[in-house]
Amino acid sequence: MRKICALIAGLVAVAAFSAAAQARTVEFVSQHPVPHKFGGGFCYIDVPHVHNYGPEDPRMYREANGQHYFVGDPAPFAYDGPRYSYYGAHPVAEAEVRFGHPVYCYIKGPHYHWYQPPPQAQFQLTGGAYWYVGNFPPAYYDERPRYAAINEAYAPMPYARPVVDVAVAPPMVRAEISFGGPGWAARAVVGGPPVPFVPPPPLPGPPVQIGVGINLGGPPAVVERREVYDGRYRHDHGRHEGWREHPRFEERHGHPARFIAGPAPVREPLLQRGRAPAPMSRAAPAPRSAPRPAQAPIQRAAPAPRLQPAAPTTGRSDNRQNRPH
Amino acid sequence: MMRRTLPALALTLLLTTFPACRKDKAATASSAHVPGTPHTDEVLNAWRTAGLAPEGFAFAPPPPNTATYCEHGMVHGVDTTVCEYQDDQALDRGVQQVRDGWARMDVHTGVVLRAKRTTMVVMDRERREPSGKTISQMAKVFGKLQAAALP
Repeated sequence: MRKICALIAGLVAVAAFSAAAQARTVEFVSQHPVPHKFGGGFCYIDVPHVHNYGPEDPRMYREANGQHYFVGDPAPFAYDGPRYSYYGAHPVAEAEVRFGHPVYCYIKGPHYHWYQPPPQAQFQLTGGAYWYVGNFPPAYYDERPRYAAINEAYAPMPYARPVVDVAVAPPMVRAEISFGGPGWAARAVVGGPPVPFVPPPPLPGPPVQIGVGINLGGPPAVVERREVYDGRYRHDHGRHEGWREHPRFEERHGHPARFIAGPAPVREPLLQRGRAPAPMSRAAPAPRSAPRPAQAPIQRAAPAPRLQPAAPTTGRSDNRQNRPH
Repeated sequence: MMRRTLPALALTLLLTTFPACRKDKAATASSAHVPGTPHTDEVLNAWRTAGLAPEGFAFAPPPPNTATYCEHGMVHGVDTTVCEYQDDQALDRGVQQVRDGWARMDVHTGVVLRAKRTTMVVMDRERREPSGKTISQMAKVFGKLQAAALP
């Protein structure tokens, strides 16, 4: 009897250990949404940490060496921390620091992030949002077909995007707005549910605003006149042809200035630490077939005293490094 | 039912085999803090000052060949261990043990951070704090200790 009991106990212990051994840990290096299966909401831990779940939607993350960084808009995930409005694609300095190479947000139109751009980065705050006014290097264009899928992830999510006055957009990105941009259809909407409507004062021109919500972390702002441009993503039902191949768009307008099919010849890092922002002029993009100019290595300032994750690295390699050039 | 009980049993067995998880007040007097790194009581005081109210912290014998001094307790219901290490090699071994433990246990949230040769290890096994706001605050305060400890 004793032997049987010992055998059963041993089997139970082995089974228990094997079941526990199947538990996985996934490393995150930023705040991120919690999958619905695990209760939903938002995880506010902004230092390296692990969970027993992975990203619910990988399109909203960048992954390197098994570490996941959330590059999306936290607003639809019950996020209640500080938020800053952005319009269009831009570099993500925080992720660049984590991963050691440039990381871009490819969200189209108005959206939120929890961070402000670093002061030395080439952003312009106007119309209620930060606009990236620097040049994009070839890597941005190379990765866009892959990472622009984030817009498909957000398309079906009903949530209040920031209101951005595109009438005062920086000149070099204004063309992008007037042409609509990839996968976006213009639709004028007067008034919006979250904002009170007040009779408009006389204005020199028709103001155009993007989005259906407001806020920069503070109390709701009152917009006196809301003729909002409802930048709604037009899904192409799985064809994923991309904006460049979009016949309707090109037939009407041709290529917009900012979205020319070739990479811009950028010789400088996007985040030029310790340097004044460059004048807001974009170089004419080089043709796609032209040889790419060498990209200067990013010069980093001496890092501030920083919380060190006590994390031995995993054996996984950086996808970016393995990509064929 | 079986799927729930088996990991729990495994966890219990692991905890009983991990010396650092057993509290032994008798050993407190004989253990010494490590010079040149933030002490456990400094960490706890910093958390108290930030309004985090650490509770039940007591000496926990560290695993062999790793930490020199450890204390274990709770912060807003989250399982927390603070350890001081004599050298970086011991610290690396200790951190690796913690990470290996997470891989075996079904830890909902785990954080291990270091400030010089002191670590804070947070494990939320029962999903008491899915938002991680307490852990985030703990990490920020701990990070300031790291900044203060730098020459």
